Amino acid sequence: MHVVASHIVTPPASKPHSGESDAVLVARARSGQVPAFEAVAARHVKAVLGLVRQQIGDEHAAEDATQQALILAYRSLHQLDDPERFGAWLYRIAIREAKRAVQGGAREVSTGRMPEQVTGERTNELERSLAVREAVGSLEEPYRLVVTLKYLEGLDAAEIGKRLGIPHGTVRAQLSRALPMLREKLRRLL
Amino acid sequence: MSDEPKDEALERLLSERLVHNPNAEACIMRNVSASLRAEPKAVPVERSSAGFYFRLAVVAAVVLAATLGLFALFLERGRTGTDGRKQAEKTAAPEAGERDVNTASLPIAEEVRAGETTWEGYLYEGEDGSIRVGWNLPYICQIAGSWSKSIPSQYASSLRPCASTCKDDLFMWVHSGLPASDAPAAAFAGVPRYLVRLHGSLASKNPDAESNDSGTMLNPRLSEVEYLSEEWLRRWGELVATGYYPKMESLQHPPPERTEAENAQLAPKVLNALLAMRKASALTDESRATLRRLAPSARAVNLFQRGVEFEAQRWLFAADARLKLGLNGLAALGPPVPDQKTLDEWFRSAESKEAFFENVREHWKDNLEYIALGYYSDAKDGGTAWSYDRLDRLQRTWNEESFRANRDATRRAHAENLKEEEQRNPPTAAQAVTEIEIRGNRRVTNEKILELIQTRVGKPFNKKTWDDDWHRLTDSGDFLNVRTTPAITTPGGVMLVLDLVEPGTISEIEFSGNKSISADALNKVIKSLKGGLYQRGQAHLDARAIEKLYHDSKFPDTLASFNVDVLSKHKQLVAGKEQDVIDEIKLIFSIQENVARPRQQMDAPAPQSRETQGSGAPFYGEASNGVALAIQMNLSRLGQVDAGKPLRLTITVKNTSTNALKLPHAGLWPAYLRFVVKNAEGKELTLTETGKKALDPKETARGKIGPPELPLPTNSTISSFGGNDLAELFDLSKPGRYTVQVIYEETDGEGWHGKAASNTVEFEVAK
Repeated sequence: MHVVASHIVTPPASKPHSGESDAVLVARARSGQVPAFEAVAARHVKAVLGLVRQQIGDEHAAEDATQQALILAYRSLHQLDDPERFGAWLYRIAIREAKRAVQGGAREVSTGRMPEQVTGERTNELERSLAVREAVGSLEEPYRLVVTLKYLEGLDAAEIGKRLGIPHGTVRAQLSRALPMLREKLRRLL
Repeated sequence: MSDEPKDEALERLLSERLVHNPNAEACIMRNVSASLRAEPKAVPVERSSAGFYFRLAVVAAVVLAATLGLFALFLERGRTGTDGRKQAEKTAAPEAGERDVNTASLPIAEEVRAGETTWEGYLYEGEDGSIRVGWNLPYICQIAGSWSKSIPSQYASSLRPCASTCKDDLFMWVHSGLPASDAPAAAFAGVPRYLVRLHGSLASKNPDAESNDSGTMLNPRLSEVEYLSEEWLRRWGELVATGYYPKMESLQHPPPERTEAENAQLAPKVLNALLAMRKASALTDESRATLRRLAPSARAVNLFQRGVEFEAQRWLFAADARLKLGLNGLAALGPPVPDQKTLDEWFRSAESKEAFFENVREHWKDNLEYIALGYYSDAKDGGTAWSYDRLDRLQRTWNEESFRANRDATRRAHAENLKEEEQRNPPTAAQAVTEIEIRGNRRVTNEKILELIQTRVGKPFNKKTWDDDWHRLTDSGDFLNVRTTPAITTPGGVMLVLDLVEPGTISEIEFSGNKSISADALNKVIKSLKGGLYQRGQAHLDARAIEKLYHDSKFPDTLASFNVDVLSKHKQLVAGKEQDVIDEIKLIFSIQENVARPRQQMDAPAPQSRETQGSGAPFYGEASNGVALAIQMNLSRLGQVDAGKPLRLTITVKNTSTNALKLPHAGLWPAYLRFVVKNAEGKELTLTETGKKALDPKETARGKIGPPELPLPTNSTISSFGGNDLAELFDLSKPGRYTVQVIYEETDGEGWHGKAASNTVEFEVAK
């Protein structure tokens, strides 16, 4: 027998979510407001999909893993200690989901492993995009995150820092370390 | 530095190549939203004592499940050897709690993307170790027209525990002999348990791959999942063991022959088996929770089980009527699902899509997903194609134009089929109708009835025409109940009987509780007439019309209901049983004005569960200190629920004040709610044992453990999403009329204190 223990708060329809911080939306989502979670998830879905896609070559599999990561995040909201760092927490979930998809489906899903060097044959547009995606995907987690947020989302260091809950100086440092690595991996395309 | 230009080039490359895909992102968000909204109970609980309480309940459930699991395992070890145990472990029921099935990596989706197909079948492990979905037996595949498909290997490890070894599926799918009730649990090992529906595309070089190729599914996403419990399988085995099973009869050549006396002996056994199956296949919160372990947000269904049950149920109802058995307990099965022939007739004769589904809804209050319709459509090559699909899906996907096109194609195909059949089986002189006996009609004359039907005395008997006559009489609106007997063959020809029950007439119409609108004005909006026939469905529509009139007259919070006083009745034999038949009634419309306050505020849309009836805003009871309460239930349009069916109740609490409030215990904590259920005599029902555990303050340690206060901004609402099954909290097994009201009282804790009573909902438990 299930007796009422969960609930939904229905906010006035006109109340927008756009101006509210991640932490506020997370708090509202925790109290059961699905629209609040949708709003905060919509903010991050671009970056999440970008991150997952870097790890999983298959576009559809990446979409599925992203979807799964968002649902998982919603169900695990109560485990999030610091709502200010929702973004970083969500990205970790997404990366874990992507890893699981890759490990579980070596045959069907491209592993996203980075070749030592991008070969000269990869000259057309699609190949260039794939090479860049793979190169970014091969970076270690903190670097991959900041590069994705900067170049996919177009955020500056302060905004990235805010989203990940780290100082913007750290973001700059991570970017400055990530770019030489990428330059090395992509030098034939430059 | 020479690095600078290179960095610029690198940054340009990154910016150009790391691009996002707005369409994909939008699609993801749609799917995520659909998943989250489809599973409201999965809403996370605030990290708090409520969370602790929730987790405590989960831990308790897991411990209980694990205990049961160990017990089941212990029993199994006592009965089977090592091999049997291994096999049993492979497909053991998840409710046993033997392992944690984690398939979170299998995505969920309701929507079918462009270019995708849906596959359904059971999960099983193929000879090559792959996990497959579909039907393993070739000839079953040919019948179903769909071969099994592999599921991509990344999902295999998580799905393997749910996949059947498929060694005993022959028993299952040809219905030729499931184990009897005394069979050991190991007998069920290998029997497929998980039936799934998946959307996806197919990796195959075969251009005709969708129907006849066993390729690999690409991007499979789970839509629906059904679990066959051991209990249900055991009961199914019992049904088969009775010696009767419809599918078995159709598959055996020649089908077994039984005398009517044997059928009469068989029927009670079939009824007992069916009642047990119905109980075992009911979708409860517990069974849904079990399924959630396989697929956290896929929809739990019991379509296969219900299909099996409905088939036997139809035979049982027919046997009961034909043999005048008067089986006790038959009503507990609920009304039988409309048979295919009846449904076809409704479809072909419907003027519009709306009329068709209205007609279905009049006869079938349960889920539309249990009914499937076969129909023809015009194929691109100029021919006709035959399709078979569930009504819930057709209702969603057909528009008026496609409905009419398919209906017309079906009408044409049907006419051609009839013509062919008549050519094949011309009636013989020996089958001429010798007599049509008409019983039970008082107002409608025999002559009018004989005009309505097309079967004629002296003409050859045609079963199709006789079946259609039932529809003609039913559709005439002159009768409450029509029964046509099967043809009774006599030496001179065929004898037929019509058992008719006429509806009562309305001798008086009364309105009570109307203060703001006069009875004359109300009388103008209703269609039930003094002196006319009483039709329950019309009276219900009249009540809605009254509510609309009030709504349009700026009294939005008015509730109208109706009841009937029987003024005279008589006894009549119907299908061999004596029944009370109503002659005259008094129709009383009760109106409750101002059931919600304040009137001027706009209600936020009430959260509706899938099962909640109605789409309007909830009716609130009188507010107490700025808090109003409303309840809604999953009743049929006639305000009914079948005995034994879950009766979901959604509670909505609203802040009607101009200030933000805090509810001390999250508003809907059970220990602070009181459910007042009264029977027709006004006597208040007591809680069942389950109800006591759930709601009784003594049992629930009121005040000791509970969620924290919940902020409730002005004009906001919180709802319970129909988590309360009133049929479990109270004994509602006795048919009759009841009322329910919920009272929410807070006297301790921080925040709002008061006592708010909800609106009162009247409902009828039908047999």
